[in-house]
Amino acid sequence: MRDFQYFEPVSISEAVFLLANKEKAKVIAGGTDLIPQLQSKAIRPEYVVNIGRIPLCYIKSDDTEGVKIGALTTIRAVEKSVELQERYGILCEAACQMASISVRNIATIGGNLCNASPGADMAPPLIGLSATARIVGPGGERIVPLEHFFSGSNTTVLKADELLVEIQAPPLAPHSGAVFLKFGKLGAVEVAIVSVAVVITLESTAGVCREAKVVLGSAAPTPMRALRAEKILEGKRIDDKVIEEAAQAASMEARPRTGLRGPAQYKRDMVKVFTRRAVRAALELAKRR
Amino acid sequence: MKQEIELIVNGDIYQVMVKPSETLLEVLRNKIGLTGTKRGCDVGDCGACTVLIDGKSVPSCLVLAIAARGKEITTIEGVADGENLHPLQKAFMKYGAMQCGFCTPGMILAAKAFLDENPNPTEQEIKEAISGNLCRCTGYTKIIEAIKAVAEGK
Amino acid sequence: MKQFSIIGTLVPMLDAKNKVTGKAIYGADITLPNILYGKVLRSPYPHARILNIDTSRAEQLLGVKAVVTGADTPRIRWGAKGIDDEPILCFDGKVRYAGEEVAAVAAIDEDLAEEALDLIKVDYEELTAVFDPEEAMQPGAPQIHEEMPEVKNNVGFEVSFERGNVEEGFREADVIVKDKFMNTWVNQAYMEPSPCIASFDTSGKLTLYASTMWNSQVREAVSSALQIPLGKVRVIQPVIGGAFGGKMGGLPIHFITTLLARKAGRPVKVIQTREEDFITARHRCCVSLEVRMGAKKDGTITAEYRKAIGDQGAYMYLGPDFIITVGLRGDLLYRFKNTRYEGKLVYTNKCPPGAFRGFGNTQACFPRESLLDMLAEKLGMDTTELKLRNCARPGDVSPHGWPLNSCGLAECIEKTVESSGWKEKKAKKQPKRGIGIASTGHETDMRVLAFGGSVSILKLLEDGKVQLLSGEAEYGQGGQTSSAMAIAEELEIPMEDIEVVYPDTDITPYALGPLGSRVLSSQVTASRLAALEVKKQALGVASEMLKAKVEDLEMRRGKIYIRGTPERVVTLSDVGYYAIQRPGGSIIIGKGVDERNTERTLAIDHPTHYGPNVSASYFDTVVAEVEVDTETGEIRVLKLTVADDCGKVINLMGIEGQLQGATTQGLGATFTEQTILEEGRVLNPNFRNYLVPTSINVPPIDIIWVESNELGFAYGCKGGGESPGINSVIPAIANAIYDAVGVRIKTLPITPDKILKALAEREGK
Repeated sequence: MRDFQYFEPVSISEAVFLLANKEKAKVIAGGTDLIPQLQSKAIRPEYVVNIGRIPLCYIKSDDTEGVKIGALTTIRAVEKSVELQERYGILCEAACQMASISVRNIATIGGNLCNASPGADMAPPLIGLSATARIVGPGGERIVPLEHFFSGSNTTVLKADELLVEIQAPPLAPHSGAVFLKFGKLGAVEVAIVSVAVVITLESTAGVCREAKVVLGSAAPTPMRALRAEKILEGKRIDDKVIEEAAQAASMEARPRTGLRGPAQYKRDMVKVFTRRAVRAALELAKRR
Repeated sequence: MKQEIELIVNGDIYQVMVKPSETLLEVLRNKIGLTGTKRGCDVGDCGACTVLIDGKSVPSCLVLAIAARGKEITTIEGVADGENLHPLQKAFMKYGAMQCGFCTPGMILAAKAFLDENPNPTEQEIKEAISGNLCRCTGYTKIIEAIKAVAEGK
Repeated sequence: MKQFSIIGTLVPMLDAKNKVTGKAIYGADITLPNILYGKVLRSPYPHARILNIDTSRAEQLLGVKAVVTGADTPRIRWGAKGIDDEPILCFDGKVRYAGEEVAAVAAIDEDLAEEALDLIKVDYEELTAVFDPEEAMQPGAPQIHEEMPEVKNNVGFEVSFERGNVEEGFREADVIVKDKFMNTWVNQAYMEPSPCIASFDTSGKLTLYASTMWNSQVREAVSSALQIPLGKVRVIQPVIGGAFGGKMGGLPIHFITTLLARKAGRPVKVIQTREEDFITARHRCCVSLEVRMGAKKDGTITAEYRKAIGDQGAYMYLGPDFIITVGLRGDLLYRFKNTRYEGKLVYTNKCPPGAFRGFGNTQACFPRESLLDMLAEKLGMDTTELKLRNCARPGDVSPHGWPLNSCGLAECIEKTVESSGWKEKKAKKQPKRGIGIASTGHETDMRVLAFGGSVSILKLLEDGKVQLLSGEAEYGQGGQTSSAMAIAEELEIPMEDIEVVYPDTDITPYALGPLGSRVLSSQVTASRLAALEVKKQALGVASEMLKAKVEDLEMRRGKIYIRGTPERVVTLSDVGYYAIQRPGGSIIIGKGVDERNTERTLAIDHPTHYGPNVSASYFDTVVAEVEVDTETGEIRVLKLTVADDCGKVINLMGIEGQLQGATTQGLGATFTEQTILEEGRVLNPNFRNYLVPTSINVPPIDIIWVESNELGFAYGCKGGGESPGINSVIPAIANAIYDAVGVRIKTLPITPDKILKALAEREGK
């Protein structure tokens, strides 16, 4: 690959300073997305800023504040986190299906989100959890709801001189069930055909659905909420008929394209199948909490 | 612009001149001369370049050499203890877990890191653990047998 | 049957220790003093004229030592099978596929070489391209080889032959079925990207380190295409990281690396990237095959007609042999009295296909075994009954004149049926579950030249160890280990005392290469004969040393003694040393030649392709059990039961591993593997989007060895371990899916969306 000037800032402010002053600098964390791009010469940056030494690897959670995950936390750490398994198992579920153990050992949650692949594994579950992104730039800090973080295929709202430093998610309400399903040809080692994250919150164990999030991955240029599907689920006692309607709505809202993983219509059909399966599973979990 | 860095590989300290753009894989093979780690795809999809960094398996083609300073790197050449082969190496030989052998270094390292963390895995867990290491010759069956045998202390 | 001490047991590969310690030396691991690194510039266009190439800026780049284009070649076209239609570096000013080599650079490091590629300016005039063989055959289609007047409408090769009378055969039939099937472009995807190192010495002798299955042919190809005297070309095979037919004989990488080394006056190393290997490997040929079969009510097949159209891409390469093989091998299994085959190869603007494990058999097997299943259904018979009624038996001669001495096909069918519980499962059909069966026949060796055998040379060294020199390649398939086992068996010495030298055309004998599945049986046979010759010579020398008659000597476990007086003994080490040191002495060297039936080879009637051009054939059967997810179209393979008639198992560990590996490749070819092109460009030249099976995709595989004991070869072995996995698995699964949910997929791969679409269409009916 083409050579570049290399920096290893040790603090967020140092990193932001570099990003602000080195034109078209690229950030590298785990390297799992950037290095293939450098190898293929898709990008030829003059400056590469390795943020790996900044202390942004942490998972902090409690019942009132929810969870805060540092952007440099590896996917493997997310997968293995006992804390997350207890409270936000959906994140572990998504993490363990990504690539391979070796890749997960270096890939970061921040990197996965900033690379913004339409199939970014961590995005649907985080959006389902109403996560927010804490971004730092030269002007200071801002918080962006994760569902508004993605602006197009492989693009985010991050400015050239900004850094994603943390992802936060509020605590899950009682009687909530969160499920992530990923459908891929060979099992999950490669990019999904479609993925679905569903979070259902019920009024009570047998009650009406108070809130529903249905988030699709690989079904549009960005991870997307299936809003109509959510509206169908909310305010109802969910039964098979409602699930079917919601699944159908999600498949209609999806905007998949025919590509290497199959025809668009097939992906649309799979959105329906997996939304149905995910809603059913989330509902069962919600009834038990 | 090249700069001199220190890499700790298999317990030895190497001083090498590297460009920031050189991956750990390239430096291990071309500068340090440890050719046991293989280049299968250069983009992290196949697992042939797996090494251990601080005991964890990583794809060395996705690590910049310059970013690996100060960390303990283990390659296939560092798995045996002198003349004493590691149980995984012995098991791979005994069970015929290789044919062309190209995926073998990466496979052994991935298996080693996995067993070090999970000494009592199920067969399914073993399969998932090596699912990032592609093998085109063996169909994986004997590889899984070999890893299982080591886990069972055979 | 004789009891063997080592033949048939589990023996680790000879170089296993090297492989587990990272000490095995593959092509990319080799370096030479003053070495340069080469990179290749490839055409982005599938069909174009090259108006001009300006390499001046690349040449001026500091660190670049050579730039080559077609102008640097002697402008001799090459081809692997008699149709020399392929230029090197497009010296005829035309590009015929996207990815074709146009220029190359050697520089002091890889990054510089890549940078230099960017500085080469090529002026292309894009031409209309054609990608579909049917379109290519239409009048008015772009002509790929307009310089070859004998090629009309892009048809590069045609063959047809008929045995018996097919028209009559169909008239006799009570039931006729016909359909059309197609396989797809699959890539060998060996784990080692192709490397080559070329180095000239001061006398002009070229040494190539080539990761090749056939170093003798690389030598001939390079010598001929680049006009280097044959005696000045040496090809050494390092350890190879998988080949599967993709690293077969002379290829562009060898020519280009040589040209760079010659021009630079320094050794050059070229290692293809994974992307390059996905784009340029000579992959499995896509064949569209129409097949029609007729049978009487009782199941006797009366006629078979097949028409095959192969997409040969831009150059003929191995095409002619391939398309003939589709015809010949395809008819090995059944007693077709009347059969007609028409095969055509069509030029298109794509990378040419070549050899991939199975070579023509895969393309023949999927249609044939699927159609048999359809025929059985129409006849109201169980497919296994139809197969057993028509299958070849020991002593048969195939419709194309191939003699079958041993033939375990019926046994393979019967044993897989029994072991899988076929009858019970058919009787108690479960929803969405199905069972299917398929068989293949594959020949052992392809006698394409007069000499179709193998030569092994065995040296007895002073320390009693032996060294085997054989030109047969080792690419992980274990031929060297099996040959060593034969030597160990005959000489009664431990495996550790046997060294096998890697093929080197300066040292090891000429070898025919891995055509058909000939390497194991031929190499083992020759090695066994060499061992017997060494034994004979050793006994002769021992008789001198012990002052006894040869008839009175016994050889056991590396010692030779006078029968009855075991204290009068010499070791093989004593014998080896004495043989070299005695007055007038010379080293004990045994030469074993596996050569049979030369007269039969010459008896082949080439124009009609009738004749015994193989020595033996091996057979297999696979029973597949599947479960269909009718919501997603996913197929779960529950179990594969495989019976392989390999004649005799030599190395149980080796052949088991081969079969497991081939089966996994077969699964990939069935479900997920496909090179996808758009306007002639490969869209998925990487493992992220070209999906090969991983450890979580392998179902339980039950293996049954059928040892039908082929007398012509050592220990009765034929080939084995290749065919069932690669060939029979595909139609066995396709048939099982039909059994499960009533849909039949006729184009590979069998993807979930195809299943769903077929299910929907079926419901719509």
